Amino acid sequence: MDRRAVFFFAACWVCRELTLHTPKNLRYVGVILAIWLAILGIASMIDNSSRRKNRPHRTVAPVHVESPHDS
Amino acid sequence: MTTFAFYAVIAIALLFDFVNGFHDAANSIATVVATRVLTPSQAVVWAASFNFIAFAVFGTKVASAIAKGVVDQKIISIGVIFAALMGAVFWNVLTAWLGLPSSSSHALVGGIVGAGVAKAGGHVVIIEGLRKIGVFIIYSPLVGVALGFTLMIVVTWLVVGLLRPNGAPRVLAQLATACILGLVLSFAGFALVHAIRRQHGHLNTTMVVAVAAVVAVVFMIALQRLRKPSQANKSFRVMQLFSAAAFSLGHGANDAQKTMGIILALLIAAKKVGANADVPTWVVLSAHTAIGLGTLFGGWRIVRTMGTKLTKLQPMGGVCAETAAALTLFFTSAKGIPVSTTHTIAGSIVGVGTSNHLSAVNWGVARRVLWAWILTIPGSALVAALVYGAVHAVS
Repeated sequence: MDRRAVFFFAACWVCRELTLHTPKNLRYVGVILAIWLAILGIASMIDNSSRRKNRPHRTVAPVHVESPHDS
Repeated sequence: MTTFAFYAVIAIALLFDFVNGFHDAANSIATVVATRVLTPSQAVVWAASFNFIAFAVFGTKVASAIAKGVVDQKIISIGVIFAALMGAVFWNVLTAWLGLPSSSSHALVGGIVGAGVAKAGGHVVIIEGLRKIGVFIIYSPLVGVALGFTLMIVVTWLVVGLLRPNGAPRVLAQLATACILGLVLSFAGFALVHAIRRQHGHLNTTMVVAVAAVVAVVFMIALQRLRKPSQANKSFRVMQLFSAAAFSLGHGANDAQKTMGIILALLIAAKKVGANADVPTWVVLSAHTAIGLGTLFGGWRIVRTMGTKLTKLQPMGGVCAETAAALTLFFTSAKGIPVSTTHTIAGSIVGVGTSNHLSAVNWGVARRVLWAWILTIPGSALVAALVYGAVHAVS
């Protein structure tokens, strides 16, 4: 999994936990921030997977290992 | 003796504010110096001016939160305030020596708690006020991360669109940029005028939209000429002046108010003003003058060092990080929440860096910030409690 997405999801979890301890009149800050960070995490995952798809595949030449029986 | 102690503690509080400006100036203008938009001395004058102007723009909710929202006002005395300031100063010096990027704001709050508890016990702590400050120790850098990252992505998308040859994406990017800039500049202008005139009524929405439309058309014409990356880079260099000014405004608003809060608590304790009084104008002006002078006198040496160290900074990233931090500080100042300006800008820089690669961020620094979060309030509280105990034993 994309490390950046993990970072955003972890931050989202921290905000969600903090929301419970936030004074009621400011609780919306934690909720909005948690949703925002979750969206950034999902966007980061999508970005990472699309980059992987667009990356050209490397063609590696098959390695021939000579065994003692070949000769 | 009491009168001397009263004025001496006010002087120490203003000195604390001066040192804050001296130390934190680098946060707001390092990027401007690094990209050679301004010389160090010009940048310092620029930041100091906006540190001072902040008194006209923001209210005094943060000051009230410090004076009335941390410990019970009834137990505050000259000794408590002195111990709180000494606790904060000692903690700042200790963490600077240890290389921990601690916040002077959190140290001040910890100092008040420690001195208050040492005087009258744990029941004097206002849990709700302390909880608000505590959660925003973590929220403010995270808001900076989210805002910095989002701004960087949006701005990159716009710049890529603007630099394309003719076509729909270019027109769309031009339109979006012109609308955003038009709206932001008009709203900022109107808000500034309203705040300076102290007319806290609603902004005239029709007027804001009309002026925004005119500004957007002007930008639309200007953006037609934008063709080369070097031109875009030049535009961001100019925009850095505004983002640095906005951050200095937020810094002045949030940090100067902490000193105002300390002086207000002292004035209430000495019965110079009533318990529900607002911050007197002379306190507002003196706190902003102290932080502005601190920036002016001390900042340029630190800025020069920071400016030369931060050679990898790009103007676009600088603008996004400063704007994100400024918006966070504007919000918290308006809501009366004391936050660390250093941690907020650090969070914004992490957000901007993360938009490129997670490995672009120096996580060693982030770990040190985490330790500073955990240790500052208990550490400064302990020092303040010891100082109060010593003062009480001597007097």
